[in-house]
Amino acid sequence: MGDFNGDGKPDVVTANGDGTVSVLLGLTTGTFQTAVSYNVGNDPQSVAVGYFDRPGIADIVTANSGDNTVSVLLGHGDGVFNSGAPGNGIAVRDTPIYQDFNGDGAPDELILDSSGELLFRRGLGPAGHFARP
Amino acid sequence: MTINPRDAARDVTAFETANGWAVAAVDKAGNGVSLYAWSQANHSFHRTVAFATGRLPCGSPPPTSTGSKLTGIRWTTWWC
Repeated sequence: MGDFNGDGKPDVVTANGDGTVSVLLGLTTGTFQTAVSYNVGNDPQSVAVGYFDRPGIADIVTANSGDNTVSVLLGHGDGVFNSGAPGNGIAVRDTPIYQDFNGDGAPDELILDSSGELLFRRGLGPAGHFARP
Repeated sequence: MTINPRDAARDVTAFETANGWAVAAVDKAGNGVSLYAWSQANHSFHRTVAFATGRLPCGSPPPTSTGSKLTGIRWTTWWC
């Protein structure tokens, strides 16, 4: 859930087994607009909402279990997202966590992999780019 | 980097402290939770606190602040 277009109404994003996520913008009636789909990595297992490049503008990340990648979709603030290339070299188990852990102003990435290791990737500034674990 | 080379985790969450964001991990072995914080001096995470939970925890949602970041956090855990 999140407010992807800034209208104060909750919107929904779902991770889909066909390698896409669907964004459904909320309406005043409690229903949603027709879903708009974006390509991500293979078999996205989970999805999260974060703020990577602009405060208050929601972005979407997915953990893709099929190819062990993470995809970042940058929001425009109007409910539309840029399709991003997935990161790689990450053994994904669950939803990544995005916070500025090192206090440098850029969101960092934390992933729990299947062996129980907590992998930290330092954020490299805007646009959802991260250093390797 | 791997922040928990010696203590594998089964679940993880982030929480905010007076000094910034930190990581709480439910340990894979034993009945405990480990807390990790960023060290500006070492440019890495270090394990700050580990506490026993009494029973084997499966996971934990983000802990909630108890009024002020300085006064502590309230923890909720579910069990295997």
